[in-house]
Amino acid sequence: MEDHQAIPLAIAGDQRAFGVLIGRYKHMVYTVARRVLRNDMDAEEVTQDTFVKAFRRLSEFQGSGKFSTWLYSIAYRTAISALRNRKEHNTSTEDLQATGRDPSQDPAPFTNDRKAVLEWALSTLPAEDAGLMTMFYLEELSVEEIVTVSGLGASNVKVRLHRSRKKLFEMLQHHLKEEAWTLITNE
Amino acid sequence: MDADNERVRKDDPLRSIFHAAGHLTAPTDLEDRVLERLSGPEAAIRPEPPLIGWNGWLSIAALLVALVVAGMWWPAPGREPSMLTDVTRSLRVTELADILNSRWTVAAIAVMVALTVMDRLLLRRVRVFFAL
Repeated sequence: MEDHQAIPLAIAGDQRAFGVLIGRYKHMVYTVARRVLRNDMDAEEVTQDTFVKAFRRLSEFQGSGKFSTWLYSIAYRTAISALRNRKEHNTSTEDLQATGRDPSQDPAPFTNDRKAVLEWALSTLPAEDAGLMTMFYLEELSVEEIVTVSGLGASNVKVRLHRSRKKLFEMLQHHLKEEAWTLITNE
Repeated sequence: MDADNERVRKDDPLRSIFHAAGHLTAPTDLEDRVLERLSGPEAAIRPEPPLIGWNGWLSIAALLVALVVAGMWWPAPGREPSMLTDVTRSLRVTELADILNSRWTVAAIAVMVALTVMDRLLLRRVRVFFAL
């Protein structure tokens, strides 16, 4: 069932049709939430919240845009809200560092596994920027689409992407073994 | 970044790494949990309650009416105190203009406008905060 078939059915209350959409986009939503929140439990909760909100607001979806972009918007903003709530509860980033939960303080993994190294490198970026990088490089959203999703200005998005790209590039170059890096850059 | 269309370049090494790593895997029972939540009362579409409810607006309206009535009964400067028999006379356009020009009426309208603006702003913040 395609999105344009499932969406009207879901708006009419067909949960099975909405289940199709969840199955199609759950990994995408979870990836953004996990990279912003850096915590499995919070990411799962935000993923659930995203789909519940999407179901409630499905009738507001303008069919002119992509459903995935619309869903990304809800996911990213919900994750950022959850991140702010968590920061308020933790009172300060010093608390995070004191409990040793700041992932940017973690040492680089002793592995050449691209996924593990990428997750580690992303964890050194500001949480919001890790989400933006995922949307740009994995989902291949344009800057204009990211502006719509994040609510940030175009110049702000470009600066964040440029800064993050530079940092990520350097870190990955250092920590992926030479043959893996050559393999990647030659792909 | 591709400067022409501001999309990722196909030959960008970071793109290759992101694509090689792929998506993170969401929990397998995620669909069930979401659908379970959608089946519960939580999923019912609830209109956002206004910060100032009907009772609040009725109270404000009653206060405004009371002010207007008080303005009608209050002795105007340089005139005899108006009584019930003067009500009809006081409804004349000139008297109504006096009432509308009174500081009380202006203040009441200003308060209503301020409350309405505050209501809208707070509701907008609540919507943004919860990404509604």
